Amino acid sequence: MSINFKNELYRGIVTENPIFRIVLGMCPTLATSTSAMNALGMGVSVIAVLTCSNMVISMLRNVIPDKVRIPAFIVVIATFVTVVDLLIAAFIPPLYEALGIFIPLIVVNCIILGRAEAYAAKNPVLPSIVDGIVMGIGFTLSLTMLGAMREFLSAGMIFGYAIAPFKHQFILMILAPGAFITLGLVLAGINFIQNKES
Amino acid sequence: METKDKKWIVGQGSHIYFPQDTSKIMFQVILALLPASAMAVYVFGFDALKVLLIGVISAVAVEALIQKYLMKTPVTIGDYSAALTGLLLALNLPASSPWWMVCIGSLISIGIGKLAYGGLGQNPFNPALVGRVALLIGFPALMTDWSVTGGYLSELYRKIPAEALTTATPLGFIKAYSGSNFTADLVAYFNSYSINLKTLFIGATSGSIGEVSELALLLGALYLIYKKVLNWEIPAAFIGTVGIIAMAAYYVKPQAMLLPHYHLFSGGLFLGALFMATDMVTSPFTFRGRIVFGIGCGVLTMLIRLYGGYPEGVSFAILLMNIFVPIIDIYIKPKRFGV
Amino acid sequence: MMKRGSSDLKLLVVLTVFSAVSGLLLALVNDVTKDRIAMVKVIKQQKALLEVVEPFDTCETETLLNDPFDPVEAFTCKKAGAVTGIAVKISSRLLSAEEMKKLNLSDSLKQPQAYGDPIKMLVGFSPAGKISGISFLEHKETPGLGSNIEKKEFKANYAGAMVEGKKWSVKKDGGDVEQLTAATITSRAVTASVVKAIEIYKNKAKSLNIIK
Repeated sequence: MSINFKNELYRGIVTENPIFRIVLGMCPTLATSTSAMNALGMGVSVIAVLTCSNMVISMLRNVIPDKVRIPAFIVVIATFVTVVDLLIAAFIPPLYEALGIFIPLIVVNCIILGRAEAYAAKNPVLPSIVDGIVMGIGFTLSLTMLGAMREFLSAGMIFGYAIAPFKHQFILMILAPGAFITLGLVLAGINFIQNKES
Repeated sequence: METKDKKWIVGQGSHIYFPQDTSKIMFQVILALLPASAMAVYVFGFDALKVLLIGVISAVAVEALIQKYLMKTPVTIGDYSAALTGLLLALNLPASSPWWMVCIGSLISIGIGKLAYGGLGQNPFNPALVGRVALLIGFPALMTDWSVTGGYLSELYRKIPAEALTTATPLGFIKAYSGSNFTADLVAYFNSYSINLKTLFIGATSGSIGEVSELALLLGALYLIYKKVLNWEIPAAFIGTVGIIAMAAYYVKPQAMLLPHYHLFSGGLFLGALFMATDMVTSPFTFRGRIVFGIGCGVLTMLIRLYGGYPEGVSFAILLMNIFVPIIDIYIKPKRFGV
Repeated sequence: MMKRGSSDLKLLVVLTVFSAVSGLLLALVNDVTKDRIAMVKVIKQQKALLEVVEPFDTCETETLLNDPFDPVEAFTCKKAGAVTGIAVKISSRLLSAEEMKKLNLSDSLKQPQAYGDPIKMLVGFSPAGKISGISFLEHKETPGLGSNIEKKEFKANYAGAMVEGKKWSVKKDGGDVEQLTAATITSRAVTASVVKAIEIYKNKAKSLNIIK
């Protein structure tokens, strides 16, 4: 069987975008999109965990009894999250400080369990890995976009680079309400474009 | 209202429908706010006039632009509702607000607070308050900058060296010192200070543009209540609740509490209770529902003022109670005839 | 019945194996990263200390007040045997009378609270009785208002000043500390914590015979 990676990528970023279309994993989306850099860090961690967990769950899909599949999935996911957590703490301390509690919380990120349940548990290993990668990329791109928007709207900066620095920061955008407002506006924009097309 | 292509409108009562009334009502409310606006210009000088004009113009412009180019629906600035939102927003800002902040406020009020929900009549929250709260959270330093450059207040400050009045509102001042060992001294200072009831009522205290003169606000509101544009239940319940709680708090702990008249007349209570909480779209239908709504606003306001992080709680209280309006309307229904 | 028993057993075995493998993997990763994480922590603390005191070779940590989340600690930093600085880690937390006594602090010290959670800070002193630096380890003050304590201009209120050279309260309360605009509560909480740190430093310096 062959996998068309380009099509899969399109699926992960556009048609089945985890944040904007499936609307899963809202907790990290809202909490870690305070800046483009934090969002990117979170996204990359999710790619790592999602790819590994999809791979292992797909490999073991015939071994895991249906009755205990959720606890089994969670054990796998929690293991990889802890591994990522320890590795980031040891090797990328600044990122660890910025993301704080949200790395351990990847365990309960619905995207990971959602892909395990909806895809990896039913498909062979290679497609599952690809699914993990493309979904992770879709998540990362969306999250980074939100992070960049919030960073720009609050301080006029993106990735810490001053594009048009404001004299007075619009703090609302880096606080929780700013996350909801930005996400709402982006979702509205997507619906707007979609309605126009159809 | 889009009624052209629909034969019947099915919806919650009441079913008496006068399309020409919206603009008339809005215009009357604007008219009723003129005394307070005039008083604001007198107290704060040219700065206040500037903020008021920018507020109205930017709100109307935002509504027109979004409706024309983004939503591609008929432009409804002729119903004066955008102008009213802009005016109310401006009345809720300090006189020192920079022009761009007023414009951002209008954009949020009209764009997010009103049009994103589908326009007039669909918005769950009072649009002007959405704008004000967004600015308050977004620009806390600018939104608590009570400096004045002109008008009656600057004259007054020259005469009485009252540091307390130039740097913060009395409520803000007490909040800034809460939990410290200075609260008692400060409370004593304010409670014995010569800003008496009359001064507060007529309007010589620092604060947002529109909240300085309760007298002017009351005049406008009475006109509207007389014209049956405003209901009296919400303001009465709201202000009454705040008064009762403030009095109770004062008598329980007089050494740590401001006199009740500060709670009644020195914050945004009258502006909020008379002109924001009574917004027809975002308040309950029934008499009893409005009483519940007003009491809820009063309790939340005092909770925030006495225990919250912000010195003033009127806008948060009204927004929070706005959320409860659908529930209030479900559980408190008008009595059916003949039951 | 038999069938059910065997399937239950299978569930048990599968989950046990899963957990065991997971535990093994985590133990392995923990082993690899353990030293590095500990090192990162030490480096972080050293960096924080270097921000507030003169360069040193070693620092002795003394825990003055045990608290799982918010201990009060004194660091005596030495270079070639001589004390180059003393740092005090303290927060704006409201200390009980008992805790104040443990720290040898006077009961009459005012303890105004910050806007958010207690502000944790590190205050460094030179042997000569100068505040050599202050750094904020953790705070939850309002971004844009209270968070301005991180700014150089505010820190300059403390850093570089002699312990005895200033009246340690904000200007609004009649002292010499320039409070932040619209963040008097925060400024007051920080200043009061610095006062505590000064007292702790004095006690420590006296016990080391640096000052009398």
